[in-house]
Amino acid sequence: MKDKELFDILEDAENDSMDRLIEKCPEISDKQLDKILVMSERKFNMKNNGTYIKRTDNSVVEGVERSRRPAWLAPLSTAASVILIAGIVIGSTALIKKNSRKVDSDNIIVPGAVTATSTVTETETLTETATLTETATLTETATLTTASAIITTQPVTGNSADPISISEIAGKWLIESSKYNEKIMIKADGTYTINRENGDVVAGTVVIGTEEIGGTVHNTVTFYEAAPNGEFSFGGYYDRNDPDVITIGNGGESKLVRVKDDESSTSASDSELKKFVGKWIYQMAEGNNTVQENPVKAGTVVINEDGTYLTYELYGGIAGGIVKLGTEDGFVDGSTVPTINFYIDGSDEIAFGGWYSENDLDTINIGNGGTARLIRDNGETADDNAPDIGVNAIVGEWTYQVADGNTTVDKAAKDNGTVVINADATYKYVDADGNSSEGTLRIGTEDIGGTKATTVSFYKDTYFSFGGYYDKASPDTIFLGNGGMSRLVRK
Amino acid sequence: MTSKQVAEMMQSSPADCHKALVREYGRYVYAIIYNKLRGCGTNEDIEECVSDVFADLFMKCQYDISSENDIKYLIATIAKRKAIDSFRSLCARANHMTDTDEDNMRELVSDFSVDEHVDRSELRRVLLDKIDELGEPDSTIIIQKFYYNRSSNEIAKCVSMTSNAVRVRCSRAMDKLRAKLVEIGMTI
Repeated sequence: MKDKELFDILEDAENDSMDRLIEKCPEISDKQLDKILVMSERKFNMKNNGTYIKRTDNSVVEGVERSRRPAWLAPLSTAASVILIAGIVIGSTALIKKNSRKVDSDNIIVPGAVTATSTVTETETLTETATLTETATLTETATLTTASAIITTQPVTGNSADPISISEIAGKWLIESSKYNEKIMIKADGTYTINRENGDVVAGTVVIGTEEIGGTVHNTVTFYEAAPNGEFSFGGYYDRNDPDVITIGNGGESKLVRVKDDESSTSASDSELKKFVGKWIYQMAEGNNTVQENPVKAGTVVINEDGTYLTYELYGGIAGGIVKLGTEDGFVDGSTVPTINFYIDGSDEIAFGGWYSENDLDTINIGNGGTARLIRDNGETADDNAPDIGVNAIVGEWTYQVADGNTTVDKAAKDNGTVVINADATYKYVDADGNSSEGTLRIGTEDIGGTKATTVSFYKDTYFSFGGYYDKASPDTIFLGNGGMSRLVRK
Repeated sequence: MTSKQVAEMMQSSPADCHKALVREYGRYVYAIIYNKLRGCGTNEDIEECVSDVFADLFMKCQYDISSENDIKYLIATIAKRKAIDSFRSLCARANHMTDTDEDNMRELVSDFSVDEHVDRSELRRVLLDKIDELGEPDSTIIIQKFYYNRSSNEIAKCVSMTSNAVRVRCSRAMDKLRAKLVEIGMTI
């Protein structure tokens, strides 16, 4: 093996080897760093839609970027361009001819526009544009809007819809879409508020109008951001025949559904909830597996008859709140599933929640990704996979030891840092150089050749950092990995 | 540098913040990218990828990253992912057209072997251990010469020696390393 080939082994290194290679990386010259900075900022500005940052120093990028392309590409591109331009010209001509009919001014009824802030001149402008495109009218109105709503009703001749008033749609609605599942409150004064899932509250104004589609006039409901932006946010159509739905956009993928008596989340005293009263085990997925494949007990949840719940050890202690049942659609097959949400006490915020099947009332699937679930604790499931120790068994300060030399850690060990494990299932690792990292740990089990082993996994954020095995027979040691190369020893 | 510090710098002057990030972490990112692209890319490819990493980082700095976490971990994650993207792109460019017969197709199921991966990882660790045992400045000279492909002149500036001295030390250090590797059964 040639010398240089030997060092090819160092490529694609994992974290610890990488750190050692970084230490020995040669210094990068200022000139080279400046070149990288200029290239980075150019790319950043391109990504950032041309928002340039002015620099005072004149940096120059040198070099030639070579590209190779087939010779036949140029004539092919030319031919494609000609066809495209011809298509645009023909299409535009056809559209212009189609829309060039004159507007019969005799048939226009001057709309009874009601504005709170506009002048008479502005109202006339709105009237004229209304005969051409309704969208343009709405945009114009939004520009004029200040803090208060402008409510306009614009009757049009022909198959006109009876104009609606804002009071007809005032109330609480649920936004149902693939992206959001949030509540919106439309107020009679023409304003609205949305309670985002992350707790933010968005406010704005609502504008009622009409739009002609294929000879039929539809009532429109348009939502604008609050002043000073006042930009279009979203909008849809309202049909009196279906008074509890506002269809958003044209695709029918999103809609607002009127919430009647808070039916989306029935009260916890509902008889349906009694099916879930009892003790449940909260299981999480271990490593990269799903919770069905490799569940690990993360805590216990008790649902009470009065619609409250308590969690034990789930967040490092006892927590509680109220339980609400509901439904959710938007699944891939379009079906609706029953949901159960656990709210933080005294808050509208959901601590965790999931869905269940009427055919299996002993399982509540938390989230959608198979990362967690609640299993009814009937004394059987508890506990094939439950670890035989809790966090308290390993709380304390541990020395991180690695093998000293070409041997295993039990033969010759050297200290490589300290790990402090806390009772709330968090840890802090400080290595021999003083670098520290923090995260959470999980205790689980693993079946090794038919024998159940207790695992201790240390996570940084959501990523597995390191982990090993704990044996009650040697309570002061956690063996890391499989190779006997490192371990934690209780101080 | 913590995310909070970066956020504060971004507020006062984005351009200065970008410059400070490149100065502070340029070498760090370069080392990560180099490790992945060493075998398939040119110096220009590596610089291109490093600039991609910082462009991505600048994008992220626009948003609220004001936590107390060290931004180094975020940078390392971006760098690793960008390096893998570039690696695939460079390899795909190099191997865009291949002649394959049926026999070869059977071998294309997967080229990832767990055993080989573990062996290689262990080999890498042992090699680095043995290089460290050479002590300074020999370990730095060896790594920069054979892994980072630096010339003796460049290494000489780094370790404050003459280029001739670097060549001599490099040759002797390599002999020592060979002997150490033979001792543990690695033949080179």
